Amino acid sequence: MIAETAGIDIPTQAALALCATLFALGWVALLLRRGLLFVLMALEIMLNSAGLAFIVAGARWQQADGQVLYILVLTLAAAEVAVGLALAMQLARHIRTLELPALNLLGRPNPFPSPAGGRGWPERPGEGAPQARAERAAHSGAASGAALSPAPLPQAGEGIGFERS
Amino acid sequence: MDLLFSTCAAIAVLATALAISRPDPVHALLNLIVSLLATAGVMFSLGAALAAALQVLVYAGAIMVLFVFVVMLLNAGPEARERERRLLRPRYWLLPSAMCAVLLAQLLYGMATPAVAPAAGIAVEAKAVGIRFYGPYLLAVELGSFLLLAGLVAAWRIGRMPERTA
Repeated sequence: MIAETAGIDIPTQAALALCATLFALGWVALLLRRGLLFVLMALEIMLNSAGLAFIVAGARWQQADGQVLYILVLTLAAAEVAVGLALAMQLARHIRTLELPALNLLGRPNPFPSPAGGRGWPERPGEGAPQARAERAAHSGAASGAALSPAPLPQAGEGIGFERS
Repeated sequence: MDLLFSTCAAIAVLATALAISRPDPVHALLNLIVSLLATAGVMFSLGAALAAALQVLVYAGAIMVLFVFVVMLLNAGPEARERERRLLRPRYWLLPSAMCAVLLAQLLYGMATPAVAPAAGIAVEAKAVGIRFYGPYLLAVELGSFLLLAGLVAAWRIGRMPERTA
């Protein structure tokens, strides 16, 4: 009963095992890789395997709903990859890197001091951050006077400390 | 088990494993395109011809070409020529080409012998998909169009963000 045929003589379990394998490969890539392009590719692999599972289920029950839902997953993947690649282009233009550890901003001062005087993010973690901090202090001092000077900010790298692990 | 299904499944798993383990994005993209084509073969062997065609057109065509465009734009520079020279070494393109050759052989064999195609009554036809699509799933189609419009506007806005100058 479980080993019903999906297509001609393809067991449903084999097709679903293929979906699970592809999904697991994409998940492993999502966990292991640190480049933004590879992360987007891993998301594509996982979405594709989910769509393939819809196809398998539709073939198992001889219904068209599986292909309908596959087309909806396809639109989702298209929208996701358009926005993700636009963000990747902006990151490459502003920060000159697509490596995700360099984009970890938790525990570092705000890299955009003001809308007018921002210099973008530092090129590497821990580099250029004190300069941005000094700039922001100068900006806020010029704008609001010395009485409202902000509280001292944590140095680069001494915040939550994710980047040390 | 169907020969088309098992061959395409093996190629899909192998190409995906290669795609997630290559250090260079271009090699990973090559293997990923082969993997998506093999997945299209799996869909065809399951009787979903429309989904297989959409997989080739949209996934392996449009989305992967977007990836290739972005990699091309990011690699524009003096080191791009050296990268191109390294790409022409056979050990980078030999394995994806071999897997593509297997898929092409299957395609040619299927075109030569029409009996390979799924029998009538088993395959889910494109007409049935269209009837379902514009009947009970009309609201989902509208939501999908919202999603595509939102993605288009967001990509346009993000792509036009001006460069921050010091």
